[in-house]
Parts: sequence; structure tokens; C-alpha cells
Amino acid sequence: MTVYEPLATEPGTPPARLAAMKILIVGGYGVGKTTLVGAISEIDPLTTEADVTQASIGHDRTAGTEAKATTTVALDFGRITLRAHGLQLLLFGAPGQQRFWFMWDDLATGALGAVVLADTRRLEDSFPVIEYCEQRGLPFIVAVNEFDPHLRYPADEVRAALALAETVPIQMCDARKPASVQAVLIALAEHAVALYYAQRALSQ
Amino acid sequence: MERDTSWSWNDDGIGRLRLYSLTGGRTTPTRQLDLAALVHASSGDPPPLDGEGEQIHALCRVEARSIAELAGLLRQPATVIKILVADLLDSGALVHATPDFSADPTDIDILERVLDGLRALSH
Repeated sequence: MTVYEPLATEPGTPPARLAAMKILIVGGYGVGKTTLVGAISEIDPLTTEADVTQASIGHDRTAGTEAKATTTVALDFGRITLRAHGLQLLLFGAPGQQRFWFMWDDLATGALGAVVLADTRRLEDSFPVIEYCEQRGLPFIVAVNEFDPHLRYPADEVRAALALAETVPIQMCDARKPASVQAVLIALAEHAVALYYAQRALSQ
Repeated sequence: MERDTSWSWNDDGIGRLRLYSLTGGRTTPTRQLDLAALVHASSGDPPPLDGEGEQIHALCRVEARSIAELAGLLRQPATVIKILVADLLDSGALVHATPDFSADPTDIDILERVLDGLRALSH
């Protein structure tokens, strides 16, 4: 049975029902995930230690017993409450290295999508997470954090270097600026909406 | 007999002992909770609480908070917070902020609400 009780609100206003929606911010070390989460979060960004289950690879699969190991990963956490829309967006900044693949399943379940935060000096750091999102069908966009004005590349060069499909949006951003981060999240939400309609058109 | 020096007491071990005592030795919550599960305090008088349970309840009186946020605020692993929050839900001290726990990312109504909400943010 689900226990539900509306949130207490000001007298005369309808009770707020808040549903949570996860958005992942994934990128390599030092690319600006914490900065990006902090720029738009309504609370000071927190570090959350999450235990994640790692299905071990290479064990005897025919026996039908999947040995699992648990690992603790530190995530950046921030939130945006869209009260009028009954939503709380939960932003999770997660490391994008290949060895953290196992945890994305836990995070990606029920998530709206992912922002792959890329650094043009280390574009190769973005390959694992892009591959993961493509395989899983998780909506994602690439946001290029342009914190160094001398290292700016046109979006089509970034697209070519990442071998990204034309359909995946690339957004240049400054992870320190709230308006810039807002534009990134809007681009992700627009992409998720567009994908929904594209898939519906395909299935009809 | 040679003394085994390959291990020693350290902060790491003490940390684990502390976590173990917080949850009464349990390692799994009484119900499944996602990192994104939002909870808030129920309006009635809470049952007697202590320690972290009381802190969680106090935080959730102010507004709805997710497991991830509570874990960050209390500086405890999310697994420990899940166990404590599940107990508080069981006792009625906390309730879920939504009947369906989390929004469905394949629901176009939700996606469009997210988009509208983000566009309406003023930065």
C-alpha cells in the first residue's frame, strides 16, 4: 500500500504533489560536473555516497548465479524544484570513466536523460558514456564546457570527433553560469520530447 | 607465533562499525527505495525518534527531500539512509511525497512539464 499525504502548503493553496525526475550529468574528472550542478541547484551541492551493485563479469554464467559486488561511488547532488509543475529535478553528477559503467544502470533507471559534459582537451573521456547512452536508448545531449576561451571548437568539429549522430544536440556552455546551464537542461528536455514524438511516429 | 601485522584498527573500520550500529546491524531496507524517492514528514505527531531518525524527520518537516539529498546532508551512505527512511515510512513518521514515487520519463506529459518548468526558471 502506498502511503500518500499531500505536502503542507500555505492556507488556501492546493497541496503540492512533487514527483522526482532524475537528470544525469556525466563527464570525466575535472570537466566541471560539480560546477554545473552548483550553478543551477537551489541547494548547495552535496556529495552523496551511493552503493552500487556491480554484476561481475567472467563468472560461470551457465550456473545461473550472478555474483555481484558492491562499490561505493561519490555523486554530486543538486536539485531544482518546479513547484508549479509538481516536479523536483534531481541532478546527479556522475563520473564518466569506463570503470563506473556499472553504476549508470542504477542511476539511469527512471532518468529523463543525460548531459554528457565534455572537455575539448579530452574528448575521448566522453566516449564510454556516449556509447552507454546509445546502447541503452537513454536520451542525451553533449554539452561542451568552454571554460577556456582559447580552446573553442565549432560544434561540427566536436560532432565529427565524437562520431555523434546528427540527431544528438551539441550545446556549448559555461558551467559556471546559471543561464547557460539552464539552456543545457532545456536542450536535454527538448531532445527527450523530440525523441518521444520521433519514436511514436516510427511505431505508427 | 609471529604476530600478524597485516591488519590494524583504523578509521575505516570504525566508520563501518558506526554504520552497522546506526541500522541495528541491518544491511537492507524493509522496502525498496530509489535514490530519487521523495519523502516528507507526516502531519501527525511523530513516534519517539532518536539520532539520525530524528534528524531525517526534522529535515523532512521543512520540505520533501530525496534519499540522495538526505544522504548528502547527513553525510551517510545512501544505503544507510534507505534503511532509516524505510523504518520511518513503516512507522508512519514519513510519507512519500507522491503516490507513484517518481515521475515516468516515458510519459510525454511529464517530459513537457519538465521542459515548461525549465523554461520558466529565471536565471
